[in-house]
This record gives sequence, structure tokens and C-alpha cells, in this order.
Amino acid sequence: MSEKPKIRIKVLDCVIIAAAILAIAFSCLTVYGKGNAEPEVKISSQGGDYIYPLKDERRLQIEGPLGVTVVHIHDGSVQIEDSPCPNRTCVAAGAISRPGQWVACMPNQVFISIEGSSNEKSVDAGVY
Amino acid sequence: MTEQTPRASATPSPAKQKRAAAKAASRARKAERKEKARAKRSARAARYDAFFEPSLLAIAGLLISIAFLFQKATLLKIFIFIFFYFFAKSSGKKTSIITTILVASGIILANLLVPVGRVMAKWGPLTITEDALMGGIDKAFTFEGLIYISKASIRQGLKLPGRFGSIVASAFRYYDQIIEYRGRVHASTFFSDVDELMLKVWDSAAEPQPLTAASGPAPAASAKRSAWSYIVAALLVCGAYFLLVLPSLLQ
Amino acid sequence: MKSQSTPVSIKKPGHAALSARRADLTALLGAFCLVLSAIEYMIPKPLPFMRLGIANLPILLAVDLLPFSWYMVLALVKVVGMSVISGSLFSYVALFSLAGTLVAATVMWASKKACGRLISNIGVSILGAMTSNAVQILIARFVIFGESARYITPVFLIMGLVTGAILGLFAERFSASSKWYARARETGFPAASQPPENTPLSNSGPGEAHHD
Repeated sequence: MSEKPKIRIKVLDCVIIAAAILAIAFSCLTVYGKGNAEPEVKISSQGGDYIYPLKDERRLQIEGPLGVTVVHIHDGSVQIEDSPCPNRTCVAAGAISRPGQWVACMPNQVFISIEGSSNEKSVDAGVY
Repeated sequence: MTEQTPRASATPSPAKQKRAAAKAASRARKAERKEKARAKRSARAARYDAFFEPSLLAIAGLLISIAFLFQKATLLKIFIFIFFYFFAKSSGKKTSIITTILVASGIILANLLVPVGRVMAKWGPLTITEDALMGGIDKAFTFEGLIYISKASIRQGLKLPGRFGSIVASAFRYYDQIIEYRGRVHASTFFSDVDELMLKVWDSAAEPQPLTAASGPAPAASAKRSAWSYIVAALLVCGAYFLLVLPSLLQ
Repeated sequence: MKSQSTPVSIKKPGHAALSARRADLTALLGAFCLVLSAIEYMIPKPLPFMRLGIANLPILLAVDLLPFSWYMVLALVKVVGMSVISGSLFSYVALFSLAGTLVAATVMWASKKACGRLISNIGVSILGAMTSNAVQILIARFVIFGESARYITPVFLIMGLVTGAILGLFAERFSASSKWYARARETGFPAASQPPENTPLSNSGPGEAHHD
């Protein structure tokens, strides 16, 4: 009983191992690579700073000295829906959707911008 | 003419001997402490299992788990978790506070990695946000709470229903036999040793053990449990559901 | 007791008797799973979530030992048995175990049956281990970790590859040389159309109707 049976590696074994290594390499690159930071919406207000992911739908009520500014995040863009300021230029400013863009309600001291990721060094926001 | 005996083979110095003895003594003490702890746990478990019938516990545990899952208030979840941590501990199950803290911290940390909500603090590269933190805490205590509710409600003598239940019971019987296998498994002849083990266990079980009868009940299984156990279980279940509706009542 | 002498059956074992023997084999394999999971529990792990998947070995071996329905019963026995022993039947831990094991079992069965001679236990095991880990990460992403679950994906995939390969090697070696395995094969599929390929089998299992 001391004969050791030969273990035969079959064709598909090698295919599978190769595919597995590829999958692992791919996942390493996507997960640990830099290009993958999810864009975030950053909001500064009198009441504090807020961060939200850009991709989830949210309707937020941000408190300011004049009242509540309603911010709506949806379909990968952010816009001010309502604000207690006299001119409401912020509401008319429309939606922003790309890192570096910003929109603000100055009277109510609400400042909204989109940034790459807060957990790494962020690129200086460009103003267009 | 070898006069000098090399140092190494001489009897160890008295200081070294003392140290070795001290080490052995502390190891023995540690082993003794572990044994005592295990004995205490078995005693507690025996009392617990004698009081509560396993299927009662399983059903109660299932109901409580469901109520726990639907619980919205994180604070109440934490309370329930703490309650069942000590409940499982007193039922003789091994609980490790360190593991629990580690796992909970890991879950919270993982949740903090994606910032959501009001910014609370910045720890180095990590931004701690309110919603992410609360979400992480909620998930962590849900995870741990379910574990301890389970530990208190799934007990050894549990008999599962139906044919499947009898197969599981047979599996446990075989498990006991494999564990008690007298022969040794050596690394060099590993495969044939394991083979022998399998053959012996299988053959030794060939004679008795008809499959269908859920035979070999746990020793205390047939004993009648006191009515109090049902009352306690019912109270716990009601308590869990009461806590479920409590937040909406308070609003 | 095992079907020793049913006066009715002459050459073929009666269906009920065969069923009973398959159930018994399932129970034995399930017990093996539980023993392996007990061993795995004792191995110190840096992270509590790292699962070596040793307990899937009997399932891997069972692809050729049991028909599909019993095979899946075995997978369930493994999950339920482990959950009862560790007392975690109602927790997320059991959910992970259930999902991972069922996926692994299905993948292993499908790949072995579909690829036949082109694949060995090694490839099958790797596929099973990696898909099991992938599914578990997916569930973790929704249930406990959130988005950051993806950071751990490469680690788990690597573990799947490595543990799958090792388990597969073991299974190959064991099934080739084990007498028990050969007898188990006879039990699950008595008087199969062709004799199992590489068995040093000299005598058949107990109570077997044996053509001489």
C-alpha cells in the first residue's frame, strides 16, 4: 500500500487557475487602485459639515441662519431645491454633477461642492 | 584526555531550574483555571438545559431573533444585546468579550470608511461621520446580538423534525464516534490512517442505529420541564416584541 | 440496520434500502464535515472572518458518491450541524455559512458533472472555494460592512484559490487511494454500470448484492 497514486492535473484545472489569477489581479487593481474614488457631496453650513455619496438619492434639510435649505441629491447630481434667501439665485443655479463644481446659498451660509474622495488628498477645486 | 565537560551538557544552574519550574507551575495553574472554568460552564449548561426544553428554546429564540431584526432603535438593540450576552453566559456558553469587541470594532470601522452624514471628527486620514457611525454601530450590535440570542436558544439536545432531523442526529452520533477514535493518525501515513478511521467508524456503526428512530435522546430530554420554563420563555418573547413597538409608542 | 437480507430483493437492493444506505452515508459524510470544522475552529486565525473551508472537503468527495438530492442534503446537514454545534443558527454567521456552502456545493457539482474528465478535484475545489468566498463577501456588503466590503475581496479571492487548491489536492489523493471511498461509491451507486476507475477494491461493501 505504499505506492503513491499519481495526481493528474487536467486541462481545465490550469484554465481555472489562470482565470482565478486574472480575477484576483483585476480585483486588486480595481479595489486598491487610485482611480476609483467615489465622488462625494460636501456641504458646509453653520450647523456643521456634511458628507454624502453622490450616487444615492437623498433629500437633505440644511439649517442656516435664515432657515432651512433643501438640498436634493439624485441621479448623480446635486441641486438646491429650496432656500429661504431673498434672491434664490442658488435655486436657479441648477444642478452640479462633477468633482470641482460647487453651488452655494450665501445668505443662508450653505456651501455645497463635489469632491473626489475625502479619504485621500483631494485635488484643489477648480472654479469654472 | 577530555578533562572538561562542555558547559552545555552540565546540569543546568539552579537559577535556570527555578525559572523552568516556575514556568511549568504557571502553565499548570493556567490549565487548571481553564478546567475549572469549563467545569463551571458545564454545570451551568446542565442546569439551564434541565430547566428549558431545547425545542422551546429554539422556537423562543427564533421569535426573539425576528423581533430583534426588526428593531429600529439602536439603543434598544444594544440593550437586548447586553441582556443576551449575560443570558448566554449564564446558560453555560463560552462568551469572549475580547472577540466581541474586536468584531464589533471591525464592523464599525468598515462602515466608517465610507463617510456619510454630519462630520464629527477627523482621525488622520479617516473622517468620522454621524450616519456612517450610527449605521456601523447598529450593524455591529445586530450582528453580535443575533449571535448571543442564538447561543442562548440553540442547545445540544435539539432534535430537528422530520427525516432531515434524523439524518442530522445520525451525523452527530458519527461525529461522537470519530472524535473518540482510538487509533492514531500520523503524518507520514496520513492517508491510510484516515482511510482506516473512516472504515472503522462506518463498520462499527453498521450494526446498531436504525436510521428512522430518533433514538438516543439527550438524557434530560424526556424529563418533564417545569411550567415556569414556558412562562419565562413566553415573557422573554413578549418582552422582545414589546421593545419592538416601544419606539413608536413613545413618539 | 443496513440492508443485510431483505428476502424480497434478489439482485438489486430495494429502493428503500438503497435510500437508507444513502442517508447513512450522508450522515457519515456530514459528521466528517463537523469534525473538520471543529479542527478548523482550533486553528488560530488572525481575523475571525477568515474561513479555511476545510469542512467542505467531504462535500467535494461526495460529488461522485451521492445522487444530487442527497448531495444537497449533505450540504444542508453540514450547515445546520455546524450552526447547532456553535449555537449560531439564528445569526448572520449561519447565513454566511449557508450561502457559501450551498453555492460551493452547487458549483462543485455542476463543474464536475459538466467537465467530466477534463477537470480534476483541484479545479472543482478552486471554483467552489472562490465562488463561496465571493458570495459571502456579497452578503457581507449588504448586511454588515457596506461599501467597504470590496476592500477585502482580493484577500478572500486569494484565500479561495489557495485553500481550494490544497483541498483539491487532498481530495484527489484521498479518493484515488482510499478503500473507504471505493466502498462508499458502491454504496451510493451499487452495481454501477462501469466499475470505478482507480480502486484497489478487493471486496464490496456490507450487504451488497454481488454478482459473481
